[in-house]
Amino acid sequence: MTAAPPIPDPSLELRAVAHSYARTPALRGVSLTLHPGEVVAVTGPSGCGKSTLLHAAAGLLTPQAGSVTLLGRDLARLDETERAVLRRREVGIVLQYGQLVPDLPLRDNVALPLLLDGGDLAAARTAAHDALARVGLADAAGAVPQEVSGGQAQRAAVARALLTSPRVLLADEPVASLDATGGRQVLDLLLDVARRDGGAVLLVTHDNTAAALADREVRLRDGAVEHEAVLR
Amino acid sequence: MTELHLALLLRGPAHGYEVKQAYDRWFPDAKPLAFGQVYATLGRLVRDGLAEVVETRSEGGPERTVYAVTDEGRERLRAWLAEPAPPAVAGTEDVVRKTVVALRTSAPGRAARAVALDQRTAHLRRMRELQARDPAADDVATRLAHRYAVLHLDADLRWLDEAVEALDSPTPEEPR
Amino acid sequence: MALLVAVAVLTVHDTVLSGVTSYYRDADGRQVVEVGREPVGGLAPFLAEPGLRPGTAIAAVLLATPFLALAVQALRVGGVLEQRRERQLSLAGAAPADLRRLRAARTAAAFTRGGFWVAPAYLVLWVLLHPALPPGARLLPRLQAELLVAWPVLVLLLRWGGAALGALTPGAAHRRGPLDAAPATSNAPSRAHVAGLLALGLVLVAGGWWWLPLGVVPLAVGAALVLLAVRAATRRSVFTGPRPRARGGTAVALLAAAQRRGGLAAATGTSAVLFVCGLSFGYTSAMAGSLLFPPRGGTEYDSERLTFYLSGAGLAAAVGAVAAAVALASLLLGLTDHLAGTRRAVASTAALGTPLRTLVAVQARCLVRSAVPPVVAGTLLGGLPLGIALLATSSPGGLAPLLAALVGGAAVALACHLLARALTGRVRAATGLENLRVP
Ligand SMILES: Nc1ncnc2c1ncn2[C@@H]1O[C@H](COP(=O)(O)OP(=O)(O)OP(=O)(O)O)[C@@H](O)[C@H]1O
Ligand SMILES: [Mg+2]
Repeated sequence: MTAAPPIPDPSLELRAVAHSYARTPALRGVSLTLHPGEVVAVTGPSGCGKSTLLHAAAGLLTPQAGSVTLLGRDLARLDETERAVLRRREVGIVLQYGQLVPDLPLRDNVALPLLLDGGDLAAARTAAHDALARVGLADAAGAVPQEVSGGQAQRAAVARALLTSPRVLLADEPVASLDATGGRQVLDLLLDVARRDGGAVLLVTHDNTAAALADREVRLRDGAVEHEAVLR
Repeated sequence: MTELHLALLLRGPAHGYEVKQAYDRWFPDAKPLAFGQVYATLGRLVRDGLAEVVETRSEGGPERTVYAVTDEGRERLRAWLAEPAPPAVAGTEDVVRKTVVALRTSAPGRAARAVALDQRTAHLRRMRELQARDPAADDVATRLAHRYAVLHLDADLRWLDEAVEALDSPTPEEPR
Repeated sequence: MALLVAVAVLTVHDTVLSGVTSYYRDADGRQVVEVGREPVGGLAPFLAEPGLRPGTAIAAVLLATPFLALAVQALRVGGVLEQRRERQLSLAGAAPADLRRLRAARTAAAFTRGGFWVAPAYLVLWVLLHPALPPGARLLPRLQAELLVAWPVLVLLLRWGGAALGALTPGAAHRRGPLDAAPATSNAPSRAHVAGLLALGLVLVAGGWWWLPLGVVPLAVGAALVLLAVRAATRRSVFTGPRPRARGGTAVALLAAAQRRGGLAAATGTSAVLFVCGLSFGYTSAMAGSLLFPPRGGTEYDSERLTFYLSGAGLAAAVGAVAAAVALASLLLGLTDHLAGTRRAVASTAALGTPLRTLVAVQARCLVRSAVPPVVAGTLLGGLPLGIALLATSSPGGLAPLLAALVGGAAVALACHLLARALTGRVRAATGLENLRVP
C-alpha cells in the first residue's frame, strides 16, 4: 500500500492581500490558508470581494499588496505563461458567470484543459465524456453552450474543472443556478476533490446550505475577514 | 397527536410499542415518543370511537393490546389532512429572542454582531451534521425531515444576515 | 461597455463603408455603366478596340464584382454586435419600427459620408489612371463638367438608397420576440446577399451567351456564383460544408472552428468576396499566360501590344489584389467583432490556463481557414477554363492559373498570420479580468 507522502505545506496561502479597482477597495488585507483535504467556504454579502479573492488566488489578478502562494509557488514570481500552465494542470476553476466557449460542443469545451496541454483528442474527449456523465450531462455532450440551460452550462463548467483531478479547486458560486438536488450532486462532486482525493477546495458561495458542507467558513465583509469558524 | 396516531395505525393494526417505533422512525429528529403518552392517546382514540381494540395477545411476555382505525378515524384523518397547517409565526424562537435582546442591550455594533455571528456558526455546524449523513442510506422520511430542519436553519441564517445588515444602517432611535 | 465597443466598431465600419462605396462607384460603377454605350469619350483604349470589347467588358464586370460583393459585405460588418445591441434595445422596449428607423438613419449617414468622399477619391483615381499612365493604358476618360452636377445628385441618391437598404436589412429582433433570434439562425447569410449573388451569376451567364467568343469563362463563373447563391440560401458555408469542423485535434483547431461557427455570416460573406477576387485573379493570370506564351498558330504580338495587354492584365490583377486586401480587412473586422462579442469566453479560456500565444494562434487559424480556400478555389475556377484551353494547344501559359493559385494562397495565408499578429492587442484586451464579470 502506498500512502501519499504527507504534504505539510498549505495548498493555498493568501497573506495580507489587498486590492482596489479604480476607486473601489475590494480587498483590504485578507489572509487565508487552505490545507490539502480541506474545504473552506468563503461567504459574505454581495460585493464584499469574494470573487476578487478567488481571482487573486487563481493568479488571474495580481493583488496590489500581499502575497499569494499557490501549491508552494509565489504567484508574483511566476510569469503569465507559468501561471497559465499551473492553472490548467493543477487547479480547477469554476467562475461565477459562464465560462464555456460559445459554438464549441460541451464535450470539447470540457476537454480543453487536456487539449491545451497537448493531449490526444480521442483520449481527451473520452475523459470529457466521463466528466460530463458524472455531472449528469452525458446526453448533452454534443450540444453547444447556447443550446443548454444555465444549470447545465454550470454543470459542464464543473465537469471541466474536475477533469484534471486538480490539487486545488476554486469555485465561485458553482451551484447558483442549480436546484437543491442538482446542487447537492454537484457539491458532492466538488467535495470529493477534498474528501476522496485530498485536494483543497475553496468554495465561494452565498448559499448557506452549501457553505454548511465546508470544514471552515471564512466570512468577508467590505473586503476584510469578519469572522472565521471551524464547522467540523 | 391524535391524528398522527391515527395515521400510524392506518398502516395496519398495531400495539402501542409498534406505534411508538413507527413514530420515531417517521420523525427521527423529534423527541422520541413516551410510552405513557402513546397508551393515553390510544385510550382516548378508543373512547372517541376513532380506533378500536381488535385483539389482546400475550406471547409469553406482558399482555399487549392491538389497535386498529375505525371508519370514523379514517374520516377524521382525511379531514385533518385537507386542512392546511397554520403558517408558523416566529417571535418565540430563541434565536430571535437572543438577537433582539443583543440588539437592544448592547451599543450598536460589535457585541450584537458577535452574538449574531456566533449564532451563525452554531447554525452552520448543525446544518453540517444534518447534511453530512449519507442521504442514500436513510429512507425518504428521514431525508425529508433533515431537509426540513436544514431549510429552517437556513431561514434563520438569512434572518440573521438581515439583522446584521440592519445593525450597520443606523435607524432612528427607537423607544427603549 | 458593450455600447462603446459597438460604437467603436461602427465607426470603423462606417469608414470602410464610405471607402468602399466611393471606390465601387467610380472605379467600376462608371465603367460598367459606360460599357453599354458607345465609347464616345474613348473610355479606355481597350474598349475602342472592337475585337477586345467583349473581353474588356467581362474584365470590367469581374473587376466590379469584388467591390460589389465588398459593398454588400461592408454592410454586414459589425453585424454580430449590432444584432446583440438591437436585441438588448428591443428587450428594453424598442419596437421593430424604432429599430428599423435606427438602422436606416445609420446606413443613410454612412452612405452620405461615402458619397461626399466619392469626388476626391475619383480625382485621386483619375490622376492615377489617366495622366500618370501611358496613353495606351489610360483607363478613365477626360474629366467632364457634368460630373460636378452628378456629384450632389449621387450623394442624395446614395443617402436615400442607404436609408432604404438600412430599413430593408433584416434586423435581429424585428421578426418576433427579441429572444427568438437564436444564434444559429442569425448565422445564415442574409437574403439580400443571396439575391445579389444570384443576380450576378445570372448576369454573367447571360453575358456569356451574348459574347460567345469568350463565353466559356463567364458561363463557368456565372454558374459558380449561382451555385454559391443556392448553397448560401440553404444556410451553409460554401467552402466549409455544413458547419466548419476542426481539422486536427488540437485545442487551437477546435477553438478556431468554434469561432468560425460563431462568425459564420461574416466569414461566408467575406469568403464570397475573396472567391470573386480569386476568380478575377485567376482569369487575368490565364490571360497573362496566354499573352506571354501565345498558343501555337495564334497571332504573335509585337512587344508594344504585349505591353499594352499586359498592363491591362496587371492592372486587373492589382485591382483584384486591392479588393482582396480590403476583403481580408473586412474579415479581420468581423473577427474583431466576434472577439468583442465573446470577450467573456476569451477571458475565461485564458483563466483556464491558455497562454496569449495560443489565443492569437486561434485567430490566425481562423483567418487562414476562412480566407485561403476561397481564394485558391476562385483562382483555379477563374483561370482553369482558359488555362485548359491553352494547355490543349500545349502552351505553357496554361499553367499560369496554377501558379497564381499557389502564390495567391500563400500570400493570403501570410497576410492572415500578419493580421492575426496585429490582433494581439485586441486579444489581450479580451482576456482582461473585468470581462469575467460581463454576464
Ligand atoms: N473591474 C472592476 N472595476 C471596478 N470595480 C470593481 C471591478 N470588479 C469588481 N469591482 C468592485 O469590487 C467589489 C468586490 O467585487 P467582487 O466581485 O469581488 O464581489 P463579490 O463578493 O464576488 O460579489 P457577488 O456576491 O455579488 O458576486 C465590488 O464592490 C465591485 O463593485
Ligand atoms: Mg462574485
